[in-house]
Parts: sequence; C-alpha cells; structure tokens
Amino acid sequence: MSRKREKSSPVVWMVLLAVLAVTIIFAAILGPRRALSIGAASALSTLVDDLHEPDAPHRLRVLEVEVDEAHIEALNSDLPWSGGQQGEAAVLLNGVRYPAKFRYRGALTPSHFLGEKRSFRLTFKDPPPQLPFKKVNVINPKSFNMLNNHIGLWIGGFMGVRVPHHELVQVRLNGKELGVMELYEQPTGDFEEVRGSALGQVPVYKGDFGPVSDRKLGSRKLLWTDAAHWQYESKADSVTANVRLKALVGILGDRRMSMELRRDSLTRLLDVDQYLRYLAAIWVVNTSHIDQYHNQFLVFDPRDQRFRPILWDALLMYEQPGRPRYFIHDALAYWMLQVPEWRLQRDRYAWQALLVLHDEGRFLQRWSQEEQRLLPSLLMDKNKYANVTLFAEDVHRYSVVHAASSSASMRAGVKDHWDQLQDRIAACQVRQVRSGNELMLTTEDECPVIVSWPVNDTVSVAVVGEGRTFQVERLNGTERVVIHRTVHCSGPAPDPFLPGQHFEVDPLQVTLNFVPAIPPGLRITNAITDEAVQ
Amino acid sequence: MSDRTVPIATCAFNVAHMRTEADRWLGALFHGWVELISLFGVLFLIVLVLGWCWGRALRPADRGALVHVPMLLGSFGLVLLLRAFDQNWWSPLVVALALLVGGLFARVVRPLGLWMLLTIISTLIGLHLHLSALLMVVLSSLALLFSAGQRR
Repeated sequence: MSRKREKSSPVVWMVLLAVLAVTIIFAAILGPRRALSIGAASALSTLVDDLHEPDAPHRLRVLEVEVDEAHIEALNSDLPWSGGQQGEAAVLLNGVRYPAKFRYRGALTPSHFLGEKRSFRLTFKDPPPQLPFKKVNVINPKSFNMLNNHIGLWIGGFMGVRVPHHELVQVRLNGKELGVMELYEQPTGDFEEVRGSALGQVPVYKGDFGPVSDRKLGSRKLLWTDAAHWQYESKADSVTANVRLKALVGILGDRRMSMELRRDSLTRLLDVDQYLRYLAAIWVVNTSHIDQYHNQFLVFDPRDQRFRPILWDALLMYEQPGRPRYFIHDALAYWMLQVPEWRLQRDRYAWQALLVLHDEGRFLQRWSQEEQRLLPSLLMDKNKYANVTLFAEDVHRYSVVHAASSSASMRAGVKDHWDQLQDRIAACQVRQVRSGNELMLTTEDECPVIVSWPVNDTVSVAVVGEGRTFQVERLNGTERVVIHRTVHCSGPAPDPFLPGQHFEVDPLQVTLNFVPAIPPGLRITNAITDEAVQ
Repeated sequence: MSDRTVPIATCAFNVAHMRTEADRWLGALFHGWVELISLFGVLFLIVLVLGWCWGRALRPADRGALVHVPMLLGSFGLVLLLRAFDQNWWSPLVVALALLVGGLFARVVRPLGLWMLLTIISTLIGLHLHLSALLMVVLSSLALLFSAGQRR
C-alpha cells in the first residue's frame, strides 16, 4: 500500500489552541496561584491516583452506614443550611445492624459540606459495644495527610489530658465507598461513664458557636463572659455544676480580685493539674484552633466538684512556628498563666512530653504506625476532598501526592517547632555575681531558675531578696528556692477577653541575700529542665 | 456580664470567609476542566506514541499523520462515557459496544489495528486502571516497533 504522507490536521491545532485559550481565561479570572493549586490538584488526582490498582484489604475499621436516599437528597438540597435535619439510619459493624439517626454536621467549615465527602453525625440510642458513644461525628479530614487531628489528640492523651475517642475509619454510605474519614466522639454526659471513671452521666459543657438557624450561622459568644454561653450536653443533674460554672465565670471576669484569692478560688473550681496539662498540650501541639469562642469542652466531676477540660479539635501545627511562649487562647488561660508556679508547671509538662515525643522519637513512631494503618485505604480513596488553596470555597479533590507531601511537611514542621521549643525552654544563660552573702542573678532568657544547695542539718539557711523572704523547700537532700519570672501582657490594655494576646517574660535581675552565708555546693539550675544554667 | 461585639471566628477556612457563590463554582469548573485536559492530554500522548510506532515500520511516504484525530476523539469520548457511568452496570455495556466498534474500525479504517488497541487502552483509562493502561501502551509500542509493517 502506497500513498502520500498526510499533513497534520488543522483541526488538532484548532482544538489545542481553543483548550489553551480557555485555560488561560480561567487562570486569568482565578489568579495564577489559585489556578495553579486547583489545576495541580485536579491533574494529579486524575492521573496519579488511578495508578494504584490492586486493592489491599483495609486496615482501618470499615463503617457501613445506610440512610434513605431521599433523606440524603433532602439534606443536600441547600447546604450547609439544609444539613441539620435528623433522619433514620443504620450502622453495620461486624455484620450487626445498629439503628441510628443521621444528619450532616459542620456548617461553618466548607470542607465539611463542599465536595463529595461530607461530614455527618450519628446518634445512637443503643450504641455498638465497639463504639460505646451516644454521638459520633464522622468527619472529612481537614488536612491532606488525614492524620493531623488524630495525632494532635493522641499527643494530648499522651500528656494526660482528657481527649475524645478518635480513629480513622473507612466509610461506606449506602454501599458506595466514601473513603477515609475521622470517627470522632462527641462528648456528652456519658463521657466519663464509657471510660469507666463514673457510674452514670456527669455534667458536660460545650463551648462552641450556636446552632444554625434561618440560613444563618450560629452566634459567636465569648464563652467566659457568661455561664449561659456554655451549652449543656448531659442528662445529669446540672444544679451544682451550673453554680460552679457561674462562680468560675465570675472569677474570670472580676479584675479587682487579688492574685492569691483568684488562684485559690480557681483551685477549688478547676482541676488545675489537668488544666496545666491541657495548656501544655495546646503549646506542644501548636494549635490556635481553640479560642475564646469555640472548640472547648468542660467535664464536671461531681466527686470533687471541679471542672476538667477536654482537648477538642487540636489541629497539629495549626499555628505558624515561632508563636509566643505564653500565648493566651482564652480568659481562663489569661489568669492561669499569671500564676508563676502554674506557668512553671505547664512548661515542665511540655518539656517532659518533648523528651519522650521528640528526643525518644515516640511521635515519629506513632505517626509511622498510623500511616501504615491508613495507607491501603488512602491509596484506594479516590474521593479525597480538602481545601487546596487558602480560599474557603476551594474544596476540591486532591491526590496521594498531596497526602505524601503533606505527611512529610507535617513531620518536618513538627520537628522544627519542637526543636525551637526545646531550644527556647533550655536557653538559660544566667550571670552570677557573688559579693559577701549576696548573690546577684541576671538573665535575658525566659527560664525560671532554682538555686539549691545540699542540706546542712547544723545550719539553717534563709534567703531574702526583693523585699521578701524566699520560701526554702527541702527536696531529696537539698534545699532550694525557686526564682520565678515576672511577665507582662503584650497588649497596651490587657484584657482577659481580647484575642491574640500573650505574656512576655521580663528580664531577670534579682539579688539574693543568704543568711548566715552563701552555703557551700550552691547550684543554679533551669527550673524547667533541671539542667545546670550556662 | 453583657455580650461584647466579637470579631469573626478565627477559623481560616470558614463560611464567613467564602466569597461569592460564583467564585466557588468557578473553582469547581476549573477543576473539572483541568481533569478533562489531563485525560485528553494523556490520550493525545498515547495516540502520538502509538502513531509514531505504527509508522516506524513503513516507508516515509506511506506514513500517515502522527495523530489520528478521529481516533483521538473517539477514545476521549469512550473515556468520558465510562467515567460518567462510574461503577455502574452501564459500564460493561459501553465497554462491549466500544470493543465491537473498535474491532470493526480496526479492519477497515486506517491506521489498521490501532483502533482496537486504543479502544482497549481507553477502556482501561475509563475504568481508572491507569497502571494497566500504561503497561498496555508500553507493550504495544514495543510490539509495533519490533513487528513487520507489511500488513499495516
């Protein structure tokens, strides 16, 4: 067969030019950065994700949910406003069918309702024994790596804070694979009961935005200005808890109260140790997603009549690195962080956690374990939706390349943050000048210091300075005084209810007068790390 | 204590920060547009590679255009059709019909043989089996390169 060589068809070039022109028009309207981000997400999710073919069995729990399609259509009709109507559903776990109520959740954040993987809430009358929670949220992961929230909460739990149950699950809705989602316990009155630490319901308060009504988002209220701003989430008797909450709110709003009285009052109303662990966890996790208005839960223990915080929506590395050391996320933190002993204890909890999580590599170990569990489901998930730009409305499908890159950058980000944190906590260059019985200490670093010496039973040492007598503590064969630091609030007009404030540590210049004399074997250490100062 | 005037919540990605509805749809349209371009681009490359391999065994005078437009558009249509019926019982029907048509064209329309090959590859892409499609392209290209061109 012989014939002349064909010329390239002009149709091809016309089509290519038309495609190029439309793309340029889109990019011009969207702006180059937004177009690039959306385009990359689209191209990579279309081309790369389908390279994964052989399906491996899920290592995550498979959650099968059945809901009437008509109900889902009704929920979808006018999102996010239409998503709150409860409907009948069933959850299949290990072949057993559990009746439940189904509705969408998350009207505020578009990643909950834009895209094809919508967050929802299941309410059980009789919850499955494997998931003994009355209410669970099944949430579209906000971050590409899908592990962000899970690990944030795990860190909180590791640091001894109360955290809700959280796990990644593979979800099937009406037989269709919805992909990997976060199963997130919604704290209710049975929070302590399911953990075996109470015999029945206990009072639980939610500090969050109000519910959606009339196509409007719920009201945003400063939680600590009124006890009524906290939503009661329990069937337990609320009389005592309500009185205590009102008292707590009153203390936080009273600016005239002395520091000592406020400290003692807070101790009676709040499990201070739990709250300091909570503050330390927020610092280590580096989240600012918990604030004056939302993402707070309080659980009340009727036995000691004190409140304990529950760490909620602790998005790992939500904040940029280099955040102020004593960041004030709400009015309670504003007052708590003004007590020097509590600041020191918070810092010590953070330091101890970093020694294990960072230095011993427990965080990376956990991250890898969870990633291995997630991997088969992540590779199979062709329905991954999240914000691909910094614009709220840009919730689009993304690819495994995004997930892999996000995982790597998250680990690097955590490492950077924790390196910085450790350097900052450990920095403690103290200038010492001895003159007779006097010891002058000066430093520009932020560390509180401990001056200690071996116990001498024949001579009792007293330490005075700054117009007061320091309390000498005995501990493990040594006597010591803790030199706390003073702080001042960053803003021109400090206010417990203002957002974005922090405390700055004042430089230290203190002269200690030892009576009768400076004891031999004097040692000066960083009060947080217990290491000798430089 | 009275309520205060409070600023918008601090969440970076909340509804209050969403701009117009048109802006949202523009992003979605662009995402879909790039998806189409990506699929079209991949098919264009495949047709180009196969067309080039197919022509290698022929004399320069006998070679056709590198990209056969009807074949490209047909395979693109098949991919879109299969993706539209994603995981639906229509998919096997579409595949069966496409193979019939492809087989018919492969016997009568130039470039002979390539129609069937491209139908299979497009079917794999339409069924989200990109790795299989890639393997098929590589093997087909090698087969075309190393086979005699007398019967093309």
